[in-house]
Formats: sequence, C-alpha cells, structure tokens
Amino acid sequence: MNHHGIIWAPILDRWNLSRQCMSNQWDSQNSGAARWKGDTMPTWYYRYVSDSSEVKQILDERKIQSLNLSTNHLTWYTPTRYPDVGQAQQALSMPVMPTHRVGPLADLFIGSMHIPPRLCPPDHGFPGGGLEMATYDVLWLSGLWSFNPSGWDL
Amino acid sequence: MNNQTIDQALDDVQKIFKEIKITHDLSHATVERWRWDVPQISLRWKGIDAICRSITVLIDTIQTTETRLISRIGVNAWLDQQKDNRWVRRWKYSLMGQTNPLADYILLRSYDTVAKWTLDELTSQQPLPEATSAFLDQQRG
Repeated sequence: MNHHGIIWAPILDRWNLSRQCMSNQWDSQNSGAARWKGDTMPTWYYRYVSDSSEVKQILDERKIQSLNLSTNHLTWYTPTRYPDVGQAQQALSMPVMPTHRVGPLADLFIGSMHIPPRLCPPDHGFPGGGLEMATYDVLWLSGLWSFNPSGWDL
Repeated sequence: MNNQTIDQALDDVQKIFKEIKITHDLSHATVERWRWDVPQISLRWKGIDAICRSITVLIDTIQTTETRLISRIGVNAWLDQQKDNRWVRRWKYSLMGQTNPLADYILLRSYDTVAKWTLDELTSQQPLPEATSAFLDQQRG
C-alpha cells in the first residue's frame, strides 16, 4: 500500500513492448526507492528476469520463483525499481540484459530472506552497487479471478 | 544447455578456486555460484588494504557443429568510499580470457593480476544509488 492508501497490483513489465503484460495500474509516483522499516530490510521487492521459461511460469501460474534446480530455486530480488533496463543491468552487474521486471512485491508475502540485503559486486564490466537479496520462498502474484467462467481476468 | 553440464564445469572451477584459497591463504574468501541464475562462479575476498576482489568464471555456449561450453574469466577489484556525503564505488574490471576447455593457468594468473591492483589503479568511479547509500549509512550506525 502506498502513501495514498491505494493498493497497486504488482505487474510484470516487459521492456520492449509499449503496453504492460498484466496491468495498467502502474503509477509513476512509485520511484522504486526502498522504504525502510526502521532496520535494514526493504518494504518492496522487484525481480529482474531474463529466462523466458520463468516469464511463462509467472504468466501461467502467477508464481515467482527461480526455476534453477541447481540452487534449489534460490530467487534473487532487489528493492529498486529501475525504469531503464540498462540501469538494471549496470547496478545488478548482469551479463545478460533482463527482459522483464516483476514487482513491486511486498516483503510481508515473503517468509524470509535467506541471503540478507547486500551490495551487488561489480562484474562483466558493470559497476554493480545495487542492493540484492535472495530467498528460497515462492511468491505469488495477486490478480483478478473470475468465478464464471473460471479463470484469471487479470 | 542443461544445468548438470554447467554444474560439472563449475565444479572444475571450484577445485582451482580451492587451490588458490590454500596457496594464498584466503580462508575468508567466499565462493558463490548462480548469482541471479547466471551460470557463473565467483571467488571473492577482501584484502588487508580493504579492497574487495573477485575472480568470476562465466559459462557460456558456442554453437559450431555441436554445442560447446566456453569459460569466460574476469577479475574485479572495488572499494566503496564516502565522498562529500555520498557513497562512491571505485572499481576496475579486466577480462582475462575465454577458453574451452577451462585453462587452469588463466585462473591462477587471474589471481596474480587482481591481487596486485592498488587503489590508484581502480580508475572507474560510480556513485552508488540512493538506496544503497542509505543502506550503507544504516550499517555504519
């Protein structure tokens, strides 16, 4: 919930389309800056995705979790909304440019962060410096469910 | 590219990282794989000069008549400093090589290269984002 008392649905943003995949409720008031709860934990999270299978999982199942069995599905997040994909790549020092951003996701939906907040190291020619954290927990996207016919409208 | 094949490649790198840790007394160094689901493994440590350093091996594929793995080895050094009430990262990156199969000598040489970098050689500078600066300020107390 933002300071206007309105609940904004987290959305799946796709950088190379002019329209968003799931919601047009995104507001420009949300600068993406982390809102601290008095200690070092952020309030909202974003996930930057470049795996098309994970994007499909989000769209089909509304489930946000890494598909990587090698890490036991450890899923990385950042408290920062980067409006520009190049900024995201630089701050998170990712060798592959993300194709999607999902969020904002409230931390009250996450059980616990198994890797607490830390600074992204520089790598692949990028400075890093963003914040990152990771959890094994699944996050579910909220939406608009239709009972008849049954299915997700949004 | 299946994860099992990549994990085997990462295992091979990890053996050399273990050798580097022992040879150079880096007991406090950390090894991490698959950060943000990227098929890579990193060895990171902080020197007595407070400069953080890393060696990263990114596993990529090349398509010829068959799909082959290639290892891309990079080194980083960085120091986050407070300057005029703002946090700034000073850093340097260098690509040490791309090989298939993994060349042990490039990894060993990578340590020698990055370990020698001094603060004066970290010539790239980047102000840290506001959220990061706030986080660092909170950590400092």
